[in-house]
Amino acid sequence: MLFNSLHFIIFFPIVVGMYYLIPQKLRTYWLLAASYYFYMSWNAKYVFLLLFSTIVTYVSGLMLERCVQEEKGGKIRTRRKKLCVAASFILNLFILLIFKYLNFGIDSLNQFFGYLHITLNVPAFDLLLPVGISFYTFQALGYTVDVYRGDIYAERNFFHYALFVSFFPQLVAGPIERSKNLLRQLDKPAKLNFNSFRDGFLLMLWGYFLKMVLADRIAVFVDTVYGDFETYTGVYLIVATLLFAVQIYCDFLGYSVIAMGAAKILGIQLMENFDAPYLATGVSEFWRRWHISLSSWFRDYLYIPLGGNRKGKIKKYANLLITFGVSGLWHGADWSYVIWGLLNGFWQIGGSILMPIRKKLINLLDIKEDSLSHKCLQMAATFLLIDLAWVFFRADSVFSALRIIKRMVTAKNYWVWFDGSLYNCGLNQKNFMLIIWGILLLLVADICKYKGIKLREIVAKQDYWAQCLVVTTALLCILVFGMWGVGYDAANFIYFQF
Amino acid sequence: MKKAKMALWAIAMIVFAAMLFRSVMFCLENKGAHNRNGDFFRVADECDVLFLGTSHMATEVLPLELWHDYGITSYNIAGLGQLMPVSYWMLINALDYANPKVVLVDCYAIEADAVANDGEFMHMSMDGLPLTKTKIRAVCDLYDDMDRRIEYLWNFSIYHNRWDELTWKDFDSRYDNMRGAQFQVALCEPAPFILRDVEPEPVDSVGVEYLRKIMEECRRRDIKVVLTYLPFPANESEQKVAAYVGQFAQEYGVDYLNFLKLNVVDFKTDCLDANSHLNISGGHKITSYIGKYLSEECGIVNRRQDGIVDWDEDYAGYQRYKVERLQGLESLQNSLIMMADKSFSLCLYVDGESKIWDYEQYVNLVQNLAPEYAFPTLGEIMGQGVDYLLLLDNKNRVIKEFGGEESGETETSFGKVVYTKTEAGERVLYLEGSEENLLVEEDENGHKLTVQTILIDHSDGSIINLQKFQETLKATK
Repeated sequence: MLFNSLHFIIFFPIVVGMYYLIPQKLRTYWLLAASYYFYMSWNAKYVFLLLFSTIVTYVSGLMLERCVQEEKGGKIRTRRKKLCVAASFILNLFILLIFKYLNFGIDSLNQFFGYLHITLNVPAFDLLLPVGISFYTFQALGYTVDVYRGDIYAERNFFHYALFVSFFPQLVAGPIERSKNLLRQLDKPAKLNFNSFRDGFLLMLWGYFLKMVLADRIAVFVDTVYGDFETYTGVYLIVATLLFAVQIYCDFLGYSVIAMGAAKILGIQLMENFDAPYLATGVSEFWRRWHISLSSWFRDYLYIPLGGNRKGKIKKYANLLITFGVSGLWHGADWSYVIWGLLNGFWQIGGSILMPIRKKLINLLDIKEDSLSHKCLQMAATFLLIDLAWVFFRADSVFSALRIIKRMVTAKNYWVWFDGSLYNCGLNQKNFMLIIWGILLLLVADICKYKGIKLREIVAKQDYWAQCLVVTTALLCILVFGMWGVGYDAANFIYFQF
Repeated sequence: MKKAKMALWAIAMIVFAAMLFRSVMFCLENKGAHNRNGDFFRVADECDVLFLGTSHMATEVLPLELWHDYGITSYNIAGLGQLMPVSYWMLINALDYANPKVVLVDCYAIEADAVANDGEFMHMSMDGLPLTKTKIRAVCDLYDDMDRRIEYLWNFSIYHNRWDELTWKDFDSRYDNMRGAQFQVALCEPAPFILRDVEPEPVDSVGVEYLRKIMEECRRRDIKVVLTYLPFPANESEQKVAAYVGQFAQEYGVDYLNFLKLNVVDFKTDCLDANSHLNISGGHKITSYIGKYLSEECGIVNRRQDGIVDWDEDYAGYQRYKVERLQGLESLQNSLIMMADKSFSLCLYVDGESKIWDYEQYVNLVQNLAPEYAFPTLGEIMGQGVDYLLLLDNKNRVIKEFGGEESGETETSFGKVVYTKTEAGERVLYLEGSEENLLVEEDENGHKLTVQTILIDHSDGSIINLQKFQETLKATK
């Protein structure tokens, strides 16, 4: 069930209506039932994987809790605790490995031996990637580590815990919530609150705008150009790559914001997943602002346990590369994702190595580091580096990505900027203008976020008629300019495939 | 108190949003169906006759001409690509508003097994229906697929994408007042047509199934049904289907007009395309025949005395529309097709240097201006390289030809018409009360004009349209 499908538009009001109508103590169970229905509407069989992951991490949590209690009683249970964590990780990652990486491994093996002129031909398995498996697995594993570290008590109510793993707004594409934040809220369902309701509704509208008006519209152009990059070269590819950066941002931010809005309507506050990432002045900062829930997950549960930056520069760089390589692999079972991840790691290592030179250059040229112009320059440079890496993320394979970059640079069809040829790639001039206006709106929203200006609070302070006008206008914009309806299949959110 | 105020605001804004949304929906909607059928609900209770069928019926029967010529009130609810199941539901919807005495059903494509065509044509039929229980039943009957049902019940789901193609016309809520009909102006060489004495070929199709439903519904409501098979250069297989419709009509004891056998139209001048549709000239002939039939055989009374003023106003609008279309035409061929219209009178002048008589299609089209007339002078002057004037007064049915050096004065319903030659050898044509010579030798750019047409409103003698054609037979602007 996609957020931008009719199914969800019917499902969600029913869930919300019932949620506030039934007694408070039943609400958790209602949300759990709704969440499982939400997941099963995609593929009912795969609900057992969700259930498996839930049971494994629930039991491991209880066992870890018992170890912690016994340790309080003076017994040493370190080995047993580690065993519990290892069991939880192995079982969960085994499932993830089978369903997400097995065929990738087989393919890679076949290719590798193929290069050595050895025919291996290990057959691939006909497995459908369970939607959201990476998200809920990581969320559940995060819980195991949190209990292991003693950051939280294990949840004893299985249904509450099952809801924590399967809470439908963030089940299939995040944010990957922390047990400390979400479990506590799920234990105490909130009462109906107009402010939360309005805030959630505004968030959902913004999310739908980003997804349906911008991301899906841009996708038409990007898909056309990337789908035939041998024909659409040079400027076409440059524009498509620039736009893809906006597309993936709007797509994923759209999903996250709808998820946050839906949760907020249900009285639950999810963590922010994006914080104006394209306004970052460096790649490290970008990753503190992009997909925050995943970045911080990797930081807390991989980078820091690996030693982080505490064991010298070389080890730090190695940890960075491992973290970003794994992050790439998390995004997709393909070498292009791994390279994408590694590239982001390299940008940061390069930035760190070049820092003294940059500092010298800044001093030499007497550049004011706090000036807007310098920041804009940094933002632009960061954006270009990130965008270059996106080519690997978007292309079908590593070779396609390399070819695309080559054709971007070598083809000299500059007239395409001016002769209207860009309007023959699925979007006419008016649609392009709409995209430009939409991007400007997004930029304003991001600048406000960057500066700590809360637009929703400004709306909330206005008279009711003005609030209604904002809502009506937003609804109309989404309905008229959104990509939906007959002849258009509700497009998956890009992050669903992870 | 605060909550009450909030509730009031909420209600007010919901109403405002609903109105705004409705306006936006209207602007974005494709106006095709709205233009054709929007007027139906205004005049439905006045209609004695309804026409059903596919594009054949939609483009060949012109209700406002039936009104003008016979005082028959009718509406054409046929549609492009409208198969019998859709026609059935169009009728059921129409019967929620109208009480017709006669329903004419054209049976072209009755052998089709499809329930409905998808796409623009289907929307041209369904979009015009208000969202009622009947429409919901219709859409659910025609489509099993939920997406399709939503598409037709809430067409905003497809039209919201039209924001980038809106024109000022999309903001105009007025509709065509042509009572559902439309016409086309073009000419095509017809496919060979040989009328054969064929045996009926039994047809067992979804089309027949729904035609039976139409028959039963009309029988239940005591509405006379007339089946038709409108003319086109039908092949043998289609003629067998036409024969089957005759058998079907016999089975139900209803009249059947098989136009394939009636020789009402001339395919040489009336075909819009090679093997299917007729142009406006053919439409006039079919309409005239059906009008006579309805008056004489079905007892449909002339309602001109009933004080239904809207119909006359709409007929005047229809006439203006025809003139606008005519003025927009650029070829002599299409002008001649449109001028084969008995509601106008005309003068056609052909210079001696013109080559139009070399082309059979032009000879046919000129003769088609008065099909019952023999055109003796035209026969004489062809190939002679001399001037020719045809004067056609459709009100008093005065037809006068002048060939070569002939000149003269002719009394017409719009006054005396003088056609003569000056001492300088220049041809001149005057209408009574005017000293303006209507014939010009060259246009403003010095191009020789070889054919000139003057369309006259015979009710007041005013000139409606004056077109001049160069040697290429393209209109000069």
